[in-house]
Amino acid sequence: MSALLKISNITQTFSENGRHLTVLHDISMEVKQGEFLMILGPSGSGKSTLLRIMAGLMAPTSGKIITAPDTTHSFIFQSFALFPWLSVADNVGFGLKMQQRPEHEIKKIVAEEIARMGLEGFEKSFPRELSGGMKQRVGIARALAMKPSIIFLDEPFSALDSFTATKLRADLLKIWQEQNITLVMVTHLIDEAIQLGDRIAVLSNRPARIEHIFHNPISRPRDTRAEKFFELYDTINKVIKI
Amino acid sequence: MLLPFLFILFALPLSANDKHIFVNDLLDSAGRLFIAYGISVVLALILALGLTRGKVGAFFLPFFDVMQSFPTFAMLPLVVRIFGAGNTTVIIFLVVTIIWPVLFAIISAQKLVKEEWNEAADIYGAKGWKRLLYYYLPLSYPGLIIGSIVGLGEGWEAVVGAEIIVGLHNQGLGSFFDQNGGSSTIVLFGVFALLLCIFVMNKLIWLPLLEKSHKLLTD
Repeated sequence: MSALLKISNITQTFSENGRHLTVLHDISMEVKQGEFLMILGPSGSGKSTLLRIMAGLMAPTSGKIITAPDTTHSFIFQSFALFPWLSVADNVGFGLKMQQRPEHEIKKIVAEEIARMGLEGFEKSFPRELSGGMKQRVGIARALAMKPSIIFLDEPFSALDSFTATKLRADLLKIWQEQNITLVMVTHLIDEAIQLGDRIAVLSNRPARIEHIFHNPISRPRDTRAEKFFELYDTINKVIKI
Repeated sequence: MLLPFLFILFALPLSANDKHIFVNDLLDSAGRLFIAYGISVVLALILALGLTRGKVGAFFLPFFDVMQSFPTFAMLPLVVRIFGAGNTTVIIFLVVTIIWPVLFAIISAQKLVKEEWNEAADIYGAKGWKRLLYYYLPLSYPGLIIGSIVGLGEGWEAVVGAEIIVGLHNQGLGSFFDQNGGSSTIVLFGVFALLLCIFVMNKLIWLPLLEKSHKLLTD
């Protein structure tokens, strides 16, 4: 697999009122075409900061980010980040509208993604009228509508109840397997990382460094009650130092 | 909607000709006020866009904060000297009065924006005029409505005052109140007719917009 994105020696320091706080220190890794990469770490370890740097939302204090030519990306947010003044359909089509695609093309893509995410009948609803799970479905549809090479996901299921999160995880896996997209997802849940990821990059406490990158040997579909699952869980758990 | 006009038609203690003059004066003042309001909104949006972003905004914001407390009537003689005693002077004076509540209400609405909305706008390519139209304007809307209600309220007071001070003859409510200053009955009924117009406008336009704006940013 070729690398779609490569980050080298990323360090991020925040400065305020003369105080400096280094959250990421000398992080290097690559994201391979078509893989499902998980970034795992304890709360406050700088996972989301790293993801935002990878997505180009934030410039690192030092280090390099190299992306393969024609790489495009979307982002799925922890708190959904839907625009409350837009309907479901308009939220899904927002990025396409910004690209000034023809209206008929936007309508077609929006209808496809709404159907894929099971949101039919809610096209004209507003985010305030939806449950958390449905809001995140809109967030996923909005990301997919852009047909990106990479989707960055910042703890996308952490604001949802466990039943909804389980269903959405399964839906996300299905979408990833059906489409040739690369997913980079941040989580603080070891079992979620093992269930979804091909590789799992474990971050240390602040300032975050990469403790280890695990290659997930468990074949799909993954049984979360299998012995291998628990073995990997224990191995990762030992690496995470809280 | 008809209430102010029915009041003017039947309750205002004026001759038919004077009632006609009153309505014309009211429309003259309203025209000046709404031209000034339009200019203020455009300027406030541009300024708010600059003031809520970057270090330049952080530098100028305290300056504008002081400016909103500036006694605008103190500037009126200077504006008359530069632009003469006419419509332009009254409109400039009104812009200086209306712009501050509109500007600071928009800035206040902008400060409440969630960082993730900004990031989503960045990721999904909202740049340049598209960001302005599809992101910045909807976000500014609740502030714009609140600022407009306050700004126009101050504007009605200012337009009458400015028209009296500038001395516009037979062109506006200032002139009407100035000429009928001898009759407290006419002045009181005139003020009441004006308040009725403002009340009806608030009830029919601004309050529904305010209600809608509350929902707009609720996610």
